[in-house]
Amino acid sequence: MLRPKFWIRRIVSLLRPGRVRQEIAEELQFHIDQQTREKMAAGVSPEEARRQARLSFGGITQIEEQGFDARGGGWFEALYHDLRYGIRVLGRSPAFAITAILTLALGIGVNSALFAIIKNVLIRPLPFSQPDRLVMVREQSGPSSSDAGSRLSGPDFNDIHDQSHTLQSVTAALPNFTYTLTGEGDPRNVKCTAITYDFFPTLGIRPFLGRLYTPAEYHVDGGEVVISYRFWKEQLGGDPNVIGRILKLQGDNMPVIGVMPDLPDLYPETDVWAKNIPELEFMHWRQNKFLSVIARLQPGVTRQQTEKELTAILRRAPGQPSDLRVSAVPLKDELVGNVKTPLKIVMGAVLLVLLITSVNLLCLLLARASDRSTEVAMRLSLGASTARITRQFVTENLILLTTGTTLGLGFAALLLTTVRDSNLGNLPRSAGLRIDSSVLLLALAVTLVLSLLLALGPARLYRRLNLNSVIKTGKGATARPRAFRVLVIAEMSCAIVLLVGAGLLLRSLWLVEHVNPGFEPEHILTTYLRTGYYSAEGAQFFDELLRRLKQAPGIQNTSVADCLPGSRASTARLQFDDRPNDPVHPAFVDGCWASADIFTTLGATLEQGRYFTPHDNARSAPVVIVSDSLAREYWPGENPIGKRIAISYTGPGRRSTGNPRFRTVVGVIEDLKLRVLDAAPNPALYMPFLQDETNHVFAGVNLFVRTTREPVWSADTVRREIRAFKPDQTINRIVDMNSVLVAGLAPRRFSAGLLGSFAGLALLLSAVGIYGTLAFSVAQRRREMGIRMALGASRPKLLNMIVGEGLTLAIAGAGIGIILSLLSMRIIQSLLFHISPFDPLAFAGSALLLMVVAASACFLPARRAASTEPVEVLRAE
Amino acid sequence: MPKQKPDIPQGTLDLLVLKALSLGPMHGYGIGQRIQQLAENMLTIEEGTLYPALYRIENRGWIESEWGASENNRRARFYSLTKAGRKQLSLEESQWQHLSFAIAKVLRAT
Repeated sequence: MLRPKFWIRRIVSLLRPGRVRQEIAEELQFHIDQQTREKMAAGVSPEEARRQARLSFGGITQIEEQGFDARGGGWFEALYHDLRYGIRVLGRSPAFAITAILTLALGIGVNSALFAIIKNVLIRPLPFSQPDRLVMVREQSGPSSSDAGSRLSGPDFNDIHDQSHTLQSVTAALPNFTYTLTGEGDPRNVKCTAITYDFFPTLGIRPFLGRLYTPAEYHVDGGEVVISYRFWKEQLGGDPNVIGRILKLQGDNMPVIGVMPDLPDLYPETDVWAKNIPELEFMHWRQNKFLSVIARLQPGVTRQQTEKELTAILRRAPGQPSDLRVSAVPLKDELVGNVKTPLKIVMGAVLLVLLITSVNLLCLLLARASDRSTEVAMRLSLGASTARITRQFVTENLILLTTGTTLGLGFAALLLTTVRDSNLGNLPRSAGLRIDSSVLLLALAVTLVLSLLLALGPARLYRRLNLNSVIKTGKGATARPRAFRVLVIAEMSCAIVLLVGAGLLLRSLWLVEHVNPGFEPEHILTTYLRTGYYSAEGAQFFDELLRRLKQAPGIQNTSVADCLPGSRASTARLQFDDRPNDPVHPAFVDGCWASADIFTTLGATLEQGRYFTPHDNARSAPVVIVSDSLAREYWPGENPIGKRIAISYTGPGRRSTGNPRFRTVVGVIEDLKLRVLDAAPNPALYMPFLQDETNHVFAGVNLFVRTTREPVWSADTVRREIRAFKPDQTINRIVDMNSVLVAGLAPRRFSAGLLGSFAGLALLLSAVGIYGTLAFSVAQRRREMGIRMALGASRPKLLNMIVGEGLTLAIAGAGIGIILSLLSMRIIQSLLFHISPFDPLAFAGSALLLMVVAASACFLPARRAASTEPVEVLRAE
Repeated sequence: MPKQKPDIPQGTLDLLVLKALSLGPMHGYGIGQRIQQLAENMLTIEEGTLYPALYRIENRGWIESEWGASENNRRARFYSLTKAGRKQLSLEESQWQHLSFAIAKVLRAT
């Protein structure tokens, strides 16, 4: 309806109700005055004329009201009154209002937050051009699906690059290595990702400032450098004249030629986008597989077609395993792979919480509606229209819902900020987490659905309202107890599912945290030392550094190694001299170069043979210490000491050594968890780092320091000693070994913590639900209680009766919940550690916990029932 | 002049108001007067029903109002017919004539 004047009047009446009233009064006054004049003209005395005029008019106030309503003031006033009345009524039962609002806020809060996370991390497409055609190429052989060996070597990349027809372009990246930056304050390490020249064109990303490397520039190391947006902003202060600025990296002066845009989705830690130069020797070694290969499919080509083609191409190359297979994983899946399952499970948990929330609210409102049916009947019989009463109830619900939703969104914002800024759970792609329009929309939709649901219950109740009987008996319509029971049982079974899930995850977490890593992580400090030594010079440097550190106060022992137990190790390929070596199925194990005292520093136990000594150096016979599981796997039932193996050590920057030297096994060490805590350790071997004939290990190692006191107190000592010895040495953060182990468990902690808190929430909510239901039922049955007592029922017996009633509900809920859990727990199997998804302890514990909580929630209403005074109740009838 | 003035049938007051206003803008008091004059005093307009009717009709967009000066120079609210009101008037007029013709026919039957 397009009637501007009509709406202007309504708005005026909304904003200036006084003015509208005054105009109406003035108009009516004019009428009376006119009439008075006319009567006076006819000869009536002034007073009489005025009296008659007023009399003929009737109820002025009524006309005024009608006019006000018609001019649009009415609905606003009614709304205003509804709101005021609603707030007053809610204020009269603060317990109800607060419970309802908090329940809503929690339900909507966690739901919105999780939705925002899922949308941002899992659903949001990668911000690259045509991201659905981007894949990560992985290579696997053998039966294991382990991560090791899933990357590609330089020759693999070249074969694909030259021979594939299903790929539009293919590019290789080498993330996670460091350069040393000097000449900008303290020397420090910057994180580098090396890329081939068509990396950014493949993704469809242009430089933010300046330009990319040209193909011609790819033939020389050093020279120009492209930096990341983050590095430019945070380290170079967003220098507007950054192009051409000289950075001293690895001792070379490199002019900045370009700044890439902010890329929070792909290698977000990168400071410098370095060149991945195909000429370098380590790129020519077929077995040195460490490249992350990203490719863009030709239009119309499926991933299966590409996988087939690339598998054929790579199998053709000499020395490749015959069961090699290539998989093309969508790039987004690759980036979020390890959080997909946990997030989906958490989302399921959140939906259950939301379900419980709605059920609880429905219970609360039903109970309240039953309580108020007398009031409603009274108002109906006094002439209030049904529409007016419905409006009143809707307004009250709206007050609850808007307050709850607003609080919930605030809660969600808080959760999101926490997840984003504290990097809780190491979520990938979480940098842009916030409440956006779609999250608001979802919250709004949830609120709407809830409000409909909530209006439905009481409305059904009042339809049965019989005015006559209510007024006569003073007893209103009551919700059928069966409805409550069904709701409470549903709530309890949802809570059990959550409790069992959380119990399984928490027990897994506990088991992982108490797993024996094979060494003693207490009192160990560690940090990464990037030296830049690629020659035997490095041997002297470390010799002197370790000697100085050992003499420093509070330090018991110290050593270096290129692996970081509990986090990462390199891959080594074995050759034996006592058996034929199958080139198609080479033996891969975890490898580590280490200084002499590594095992005493870490606190690992030697099982056989000897430790390394300082005499195991470049001039002495090559030796190796193997892990227990390696010895058992390759020399079962034999004495491994004295056996000989040759080791090809792979990794970025590693050069092939032609025919590797055979090493003599001198010791067997117990298994260390080198890569992750929550998986069985791979067979592993350790070699003296002085015997690395390529000298590559000196360029960057992890330093381990065993302290005699609280390790954090020694961090400064370590830093001071290193600085005193070599002032321009970069020092990363010095952390204690336990935090390295804990960091690896962050995703596990995240999902266990979230599910645990949801389960707690669910438990609390169902306690509220069962409490509310029983309290209501007891209040309704006061008369029955009184009669029972008058007939001789004892107080304890009544107490038992009510608690029993509650527990029956809890048992029914627990039973259904356990069946649901048995059906659904298989989906979290991949997150479990060393326990079955049907772990009886988790099931029994959850059920017991629910019983205890339910019983205590029953106790209060039961005591109220038992304290009924029969005389009082019977007299009141 | 008959002693008993008939009540105005429900719904016809709107028609009378529209008709009165079709002769020119007028304030509420004048509208009542004008209808009584036109009906040669056979009808009385109750003030208690006139004003609610005016507000109702205004809400439907058939008339609009603004403040003006009355004959004796007092501030008064003047109502006037809108375009939609004119259309409504002719519609209701023809409907009324049709109806009264029909009723008259029925009553004339013997």
